[in-house]
Amino acid sequence: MFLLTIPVGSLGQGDTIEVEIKFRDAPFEDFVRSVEARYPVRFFYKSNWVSNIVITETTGQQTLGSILERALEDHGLFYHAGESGSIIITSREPVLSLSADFLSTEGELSDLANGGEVRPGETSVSEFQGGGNGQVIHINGGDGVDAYGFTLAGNVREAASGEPVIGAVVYAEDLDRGVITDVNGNYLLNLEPGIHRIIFRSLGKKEHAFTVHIHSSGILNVELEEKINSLKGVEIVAEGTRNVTRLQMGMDRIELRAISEMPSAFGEMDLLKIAQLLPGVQSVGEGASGFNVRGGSTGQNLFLLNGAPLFNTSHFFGFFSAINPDMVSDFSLYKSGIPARYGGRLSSVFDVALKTGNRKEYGLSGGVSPVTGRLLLEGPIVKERSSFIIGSRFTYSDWVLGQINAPSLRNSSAAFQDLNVRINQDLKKNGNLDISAYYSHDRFRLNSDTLYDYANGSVSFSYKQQFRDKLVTSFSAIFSQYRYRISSREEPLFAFELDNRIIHGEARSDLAWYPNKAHKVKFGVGLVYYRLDPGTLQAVGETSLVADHYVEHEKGMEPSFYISDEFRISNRILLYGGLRVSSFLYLGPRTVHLYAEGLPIEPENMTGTKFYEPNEIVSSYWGPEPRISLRYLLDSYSSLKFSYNRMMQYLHMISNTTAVSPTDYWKLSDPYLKPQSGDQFALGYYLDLLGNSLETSVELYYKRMVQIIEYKGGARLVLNDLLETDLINGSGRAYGLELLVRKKGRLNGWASYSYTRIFHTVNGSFPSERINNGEPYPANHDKPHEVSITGNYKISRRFSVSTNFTYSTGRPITYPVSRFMQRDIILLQYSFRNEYRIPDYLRWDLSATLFGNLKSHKLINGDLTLSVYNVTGRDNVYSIYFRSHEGVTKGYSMSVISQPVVSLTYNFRL
Amino acid sequence: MKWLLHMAGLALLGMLSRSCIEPYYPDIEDYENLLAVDGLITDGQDPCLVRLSRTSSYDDFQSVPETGAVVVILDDLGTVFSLEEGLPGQYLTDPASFTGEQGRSYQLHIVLSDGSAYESDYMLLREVPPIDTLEARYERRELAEPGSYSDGIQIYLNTGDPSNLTRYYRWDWEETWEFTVPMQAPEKAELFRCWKSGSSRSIMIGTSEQLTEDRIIDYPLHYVDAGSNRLRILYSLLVRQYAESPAAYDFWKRQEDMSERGGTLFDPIPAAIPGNIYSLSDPDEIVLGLFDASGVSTRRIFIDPQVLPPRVDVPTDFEFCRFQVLQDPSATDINYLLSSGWIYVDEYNDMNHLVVRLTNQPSCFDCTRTGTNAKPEFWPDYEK
Repeated sequence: MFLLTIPVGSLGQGDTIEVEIKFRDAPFEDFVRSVEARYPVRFFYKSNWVSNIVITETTGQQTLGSILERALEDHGLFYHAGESGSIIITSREPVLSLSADFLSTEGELSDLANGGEVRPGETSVSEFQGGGNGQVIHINGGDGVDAYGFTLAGNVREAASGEPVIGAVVYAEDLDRGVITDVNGNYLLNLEPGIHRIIFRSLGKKEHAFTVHIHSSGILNVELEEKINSLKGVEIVAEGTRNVTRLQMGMDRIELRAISEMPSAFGEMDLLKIAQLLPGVQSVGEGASGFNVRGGSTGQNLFLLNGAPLFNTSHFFGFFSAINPDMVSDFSLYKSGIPARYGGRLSSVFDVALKTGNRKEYGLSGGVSPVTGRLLLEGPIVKERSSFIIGSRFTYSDWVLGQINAPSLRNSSAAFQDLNVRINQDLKKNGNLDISAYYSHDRFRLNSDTLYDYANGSVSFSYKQQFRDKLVTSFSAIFSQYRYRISSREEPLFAFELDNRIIHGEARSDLAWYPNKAHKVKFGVGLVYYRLDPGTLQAVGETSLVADHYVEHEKGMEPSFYISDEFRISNRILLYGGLRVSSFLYLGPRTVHLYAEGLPIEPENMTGTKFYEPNEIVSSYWGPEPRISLRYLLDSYSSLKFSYNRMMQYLHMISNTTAVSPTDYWKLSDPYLKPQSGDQFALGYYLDLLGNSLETSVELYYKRMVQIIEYKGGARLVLNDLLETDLINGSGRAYGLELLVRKKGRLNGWASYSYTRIFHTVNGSFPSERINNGEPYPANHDKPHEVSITGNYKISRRFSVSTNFTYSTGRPITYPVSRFMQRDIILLQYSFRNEYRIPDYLRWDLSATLFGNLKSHKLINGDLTLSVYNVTGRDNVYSIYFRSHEGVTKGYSMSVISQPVVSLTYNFRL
Repeated sequence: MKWLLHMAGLALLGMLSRSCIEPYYPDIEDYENLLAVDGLITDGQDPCLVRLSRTSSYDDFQSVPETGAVVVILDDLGTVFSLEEGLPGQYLTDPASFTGEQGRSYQLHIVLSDGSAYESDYMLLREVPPIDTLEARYERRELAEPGSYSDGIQIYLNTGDPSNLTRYYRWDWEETWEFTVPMQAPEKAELFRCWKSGSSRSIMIGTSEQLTEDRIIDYPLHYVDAGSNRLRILYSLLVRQYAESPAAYDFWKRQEDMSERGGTLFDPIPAAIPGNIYSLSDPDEIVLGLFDASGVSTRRIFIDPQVLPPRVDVPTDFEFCRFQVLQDPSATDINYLLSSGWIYVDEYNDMNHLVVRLTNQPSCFDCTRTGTNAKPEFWPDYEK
């Protein structure tokens, strides 16, 4: 029996309403319905919390509040009454404040009926069938009130495999700001208490929006489903407003889905080739290993594979990258605005994150191309908590070479393998342990007896711990080694082995602290230990006359620390300020050669040597590396960004060839070789058009580098104990403009134009230490104009086509301009350094991919890619050289690929 | 499927070999006109030559001599020796007053006709060990074109210094060979048998610096191709060996890297190579070339064609020669042939018939057109 009473008064605190209905033994939900129908109140609660609650008896004159108090207290529940008549049933102490607009929710309100287990303090939302929008999730971590706001943190994973989703956008729509998930899929968002609409968005996944009511800090883990027609191919992740809103400039992030669709030589596309299509990243030529980023030399790029540096990034003379594309989850390239946690190289950071493995089920996938085979195995160790992944690549090129009958290939062989292993384990209380290992090995012999053999190996161990909701700490230990060997055994009298090795050992700790929504503070310390063996020559066999020669090894330590803050000054202005302080100690044992003052550093001017004991400090260097970035939002579609950074480099690549060659090696800064340092200023304008499906940007930059390394003519770099007599240092100046237009959708891809100039000046005190008489000259990798276009079009669900087009100005070259006779021999005299250019480079590639039947539960899913590299067959000149023989000098041009290369690749997945 | 493999292989081939190499004709505008000095002091009997020239364009065959300069050599005892200009730009020592001595150091001084002055480093005239052996071995080489070969004799050099002091060596050679013309004119026997010479035009250097002993073993000095008439009758090679200082060797090594290697993915970047001559007026001026001093040791080898296997056919190099042997020709016949370009060789009487011989090229019967009929004094006497 209910008595109806017309409510009086306006909306106010609901709990003061006098409930005139009499109830007896009414289940809570019935009670709620009746009260809501009659009075201006709305209830929010979890039905399974209240399923046992019965309103035993009401008198008809009690306030709602008192009824609730009595009914709830035995069940450990409380209620909270809001301003506009809302009544919230909670299991913790009532929240003291609510945001004023908490009632402005959209969509139906319901409880968490479909959710998984929800523990207080943690909320998990798993697969939502059909929509998922508008369900309200209460976040009540129970940590009490924080005057600065609360944090919503959690983990975003793929629904099917449990792989963390890197770079997913977690966006608070009502506040118009968001964050992206990190390499472990974790995010942390500062929010005021109240109701917010949080959107989780990632490429190729169904977008989910949740209405979240923040009562206190808490954790929300989300799983995102794959979109069935997910876009495959390479796309730059920049949904929505990333291009415009993110603070980072000079940075490109690429998520690699199925890169097998892009056209390539030998049917294997890799992320380094993709990187070359980005503006500001150039290579010196076909099959040349090494990159030049914004005018930097090839030794100025830091490649990180799960935090471990990779010293030789390619297999097979630059045609394949050393990184297995199947293993890559995500990759970021920083060209400017480099965050303070990175250091050690001047020009760029390529940060590659590898997959962690499917946490839900086992999977086997792989591929076959004309020259290589790939296999990948992954799966859970403990379901949902840990996973492993093993990926390997190998070649059968030796066999292919054996099928070709050409004298120039006789006695040639080339092979490589690589292996990646990773284990990732979640620990109790938001910890995570990760161990990842990498090994690659190359062996080749070029039509001669000399065998080149090199290997990269690395192990990284990382432990992450999230404390409360505002602090994330991590500790990593990393070991990386690169070694190569050149050997020749055909002539027993001259049989030798020449080895070269670099070891990098690092321990670092990083801390991220999110005190409030305005600041993201990061702090870290690190120590790197280096050991380099620049050259060890040994005789092989008993009859060999080769004298053993051991170039003294080098040791050094690079301690550093950094601190940075991303400060949200207002909704328009985001400022990043960071300082990295790095230092370097060059340690003994070491014999330092001394040279006469006032004379050039030449062997004949050597006055003596000084020996330093083991671990004695021979020389020390240090420097501050400020990093500043600023983003100013002009409106929601455009922004201006500025950055300044300074980088220091203590480890240098010694190479006087244009491309990275097997005989290149690394050297530490020493009393004669000072550290390189570089300052870069960049300014950019970013604009999103056509409702965010078209992103455009223009960036301008200016770079100044000092203590760059140049070489005296005909410098002897291998096994030179007096290397300082062949090195000269100079300075560099680079500037340029990069335009980029990216499109998403069925036709996707990007087009870029960059104008880059880089000049070196080598003006020492003595003529032997000057190049070009001390005047600036274009560096060897100065290629002013570059155009890159890549596009992918989905003709149908099963068929897509891709194309690449690239054009660049020819690189500079020094020609012999005159000749003279010496003892009846013609010798050549060369022009001013890099005064001329080789012909321009132009290449067009095409590919088409056919996907297997997309039935979801087939045993094997496969796809086939047909690719034509260099469709026009253009003879792109790689180098021009001159030979004098028997009194005649002739010029020759050499190109590496002078005809179209067709290949077919098959990829499968179990 | 095989074509796919072939494609892959071709692309691999492209990368691994020197793939596509084509002639290239750069468009070079101008060049700096620099002084080039080429001087060598030896302990031999011949006058020592210092050649001064100015650089010429890279595809130009002429070099521009620097004439009218004052060229003087100083030894480490302070004695001054002046050189006289013979041919333009070529300054020679006077053998009567100057012979290089082992153990002495020499410095070059130059004053050009325009007054600019130059001097070189002191170069030590080092003792040079003798050449131990020169060996001639038949070799068949595969050429770039699959299935094609060349036959020839590879000459290997062995030398060494038991005292391990020399370490750096340079060589040059002179070849001489005997040849005959296809047609012997009895009246002109002296035009039948001649000799031809050539000298080396490329850098030949070697070092034992990476070995435990100072030895040069089987240095491939020169390959004599059996595709020319060098190996038809008798061939001789005179090899000269020099001992270089580390600095001079360095100069040659850098020049070799620049001028004679190239065409791989890893070519070094060309750059100016300093010599050892400096301008006294302008320290920044680049002077090309090297002033060197060294002892010389020589060795000669003779190569008999019997070193070649019988199947190897050495050409005469006169395959273009054609002959007309006319018996009792009429004047009209002869005039007609002569006016068509044939050349009269000789005529003789053979059993009461007049035989007239004509040929298409004078070198077919006159070996002095392509060689010299003065027999070199080192040439052995033999009956052929």
